[in-house]
Amino acid sequence: MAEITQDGRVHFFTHPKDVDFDASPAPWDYNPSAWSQRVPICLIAMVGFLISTYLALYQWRLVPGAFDPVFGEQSQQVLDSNVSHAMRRWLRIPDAALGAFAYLGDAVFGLAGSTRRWQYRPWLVVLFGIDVIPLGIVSAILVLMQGAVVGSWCFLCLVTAVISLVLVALAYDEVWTSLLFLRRVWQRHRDGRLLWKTFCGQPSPAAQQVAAEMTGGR
Amino acid sequence: MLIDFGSAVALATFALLSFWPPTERAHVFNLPVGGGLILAGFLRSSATSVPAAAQNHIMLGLLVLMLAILPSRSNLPPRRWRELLART
Repeated sequence: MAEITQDGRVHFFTHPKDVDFDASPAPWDYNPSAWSQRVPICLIAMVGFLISTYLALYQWRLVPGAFDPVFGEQSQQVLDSNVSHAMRRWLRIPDAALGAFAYLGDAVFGLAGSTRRWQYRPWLVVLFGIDVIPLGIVSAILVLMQGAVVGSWCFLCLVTAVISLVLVALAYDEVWTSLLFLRRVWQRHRDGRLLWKTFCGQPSPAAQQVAAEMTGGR
Repeated sequence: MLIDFGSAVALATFALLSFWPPTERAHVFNLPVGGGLILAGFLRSSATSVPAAAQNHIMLGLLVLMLAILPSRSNLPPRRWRELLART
């Protein structure tokens, strides 16, 4: 269904029929932007969000204690450590709340965009990648360092660290595809302005051609 | 109180405008609203004393920033791509 406005613009409210939104871009034999790839990421991110929210609720003292089936009281020592308090003085909010926000961002940015967003909205995929990959790796390293720095371990924090690393493994293919798409556009014309336009989701014959090559003309 | 009411009115206005095709990018104006909420949270707190309301402003501001950058009808290609695809 389409609507043609007075200035001649066409507004589609469904997907354009001539484009294969399930096309697999090189080098993959699947579409990394497909819902089957993105929904699991969002579900796992939501688990991280719920765990982090629970830990933040403890840091806000809205729940009396932090559940830990493995390390017992050590979880609360981690969540109430000097490092945690120092971060709270700096951030003004508990560090677990910021973690919850990051996981929610993973889920929200994972759901936004079409199943061909690696081409149509590279900025969104890159933003999603920044949220998942560098932030995920840094948070996982910080959590894994807690034993050395704080001297205690927090089971749920370790679970969120594992979730972060799983998300990195699941998300990198789509980010790589978008970066590869942008790189090929750049290599074709060496035009910074064209690259920026492509990154921002503006069409051009060059971007269309590169995408067609990556998907085998689909 | 004024911050809460003003932010709510601005958020609702820009969010509603973003549903209308001629102003579909109005959601971007919610970015300064989110930034303002975070700034208000920091200005109303100190390293030693952070009122609950200030934390609420910071959390809400972060949430608004995250949602404000999402385009309208993000499940579809951007409008210019749709126009190009319609012509080809």
